Amino acid sequence: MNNKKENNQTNQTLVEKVLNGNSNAFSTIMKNTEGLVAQIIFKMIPNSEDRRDIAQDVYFKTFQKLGSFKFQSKLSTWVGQIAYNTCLNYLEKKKLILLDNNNDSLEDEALEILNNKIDPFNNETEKLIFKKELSKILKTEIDNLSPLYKTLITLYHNEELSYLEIAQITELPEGTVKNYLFRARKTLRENLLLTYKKEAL
Amino acid sequence: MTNKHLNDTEIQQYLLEKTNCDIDIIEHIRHCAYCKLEAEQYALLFEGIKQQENPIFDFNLADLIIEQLPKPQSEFSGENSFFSFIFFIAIFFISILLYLFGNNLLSLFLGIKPILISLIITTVISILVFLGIDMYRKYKTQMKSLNFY
Repeated sequence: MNNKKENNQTNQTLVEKVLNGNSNAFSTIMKNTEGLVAQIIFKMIPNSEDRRDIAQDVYFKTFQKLGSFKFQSKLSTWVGQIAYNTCLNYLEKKKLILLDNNNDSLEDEALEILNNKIDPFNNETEKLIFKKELSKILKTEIDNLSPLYKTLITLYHNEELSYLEIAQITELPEGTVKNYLFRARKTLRENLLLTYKKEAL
Repeated sequence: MTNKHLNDTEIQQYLLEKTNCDIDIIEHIRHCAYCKLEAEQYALLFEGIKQQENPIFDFNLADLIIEQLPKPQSEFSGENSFFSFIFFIAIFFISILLYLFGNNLLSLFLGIKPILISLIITTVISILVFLGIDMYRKYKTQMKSLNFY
């Protein structure tokens, strides 16, 4: 609780400094939030060339809107919300899909492969190989998820944000965030096993 | 203890929210090899996600932004300069009018009753004030709609 209060005070001081024309303070805000912004942009924007423009756009908007920040959430969450909305606008403009529900359920052929007897946990050797290959396969499988699923997984597991904070960033109800996350992890696990089994066959 | 195999949601809940997890779920996983295996796969998945490299921009974002930032101006000073500009323009034109047609204007008003003059002035000022307020409101609405994110 004390930590939260201190953090809020630091943010308040930083915001006041920026509004008084101190660009170093804005630089500090950027350093504190760049990791989160990068995670959102990298997960939502497939085109690497557009990421640079979007990242700049996010911080210009943050700078413009800083005076209206009411400290009702963490500063980083607020910046994350701007980043998410900026990416969302980009996806809408490019007519790209945010969430593809068709990818949630596996096709019959895939289920057949998934149910066959090759199990990465059958013996210790298989388990070790699976662990070794996991990182490589996982990266690809995460990239294959819908932008929204990728973002939610990253925010929860890598950025260690709470459901409430993710709900604030994405402006989705907390229950929906939870539900999407459960489905995203399930899809990821199934796709991961499927890829591994396909390679093993 | 529940005898039916756990679904994905329950297994995920077991791993991520152990403190809030139903005791039946915990007991089931302890005794069921199938669900235990599923839980192990999920645990491995979560570990794998955490170990993924964090993305970083291949350019210095802070430098790029800071050099392009305008000098911050408070909303108040912006409004002030706008009104000052309008005020000085008005004064300038009135001064020119008075300088050129001062005598004519004076003789024009000398024939009218003072009560009528004050009535005209009050009406004109009231209309100008209402027009000014309306113009300012429109300006603020337009700025608000432009400044979205």
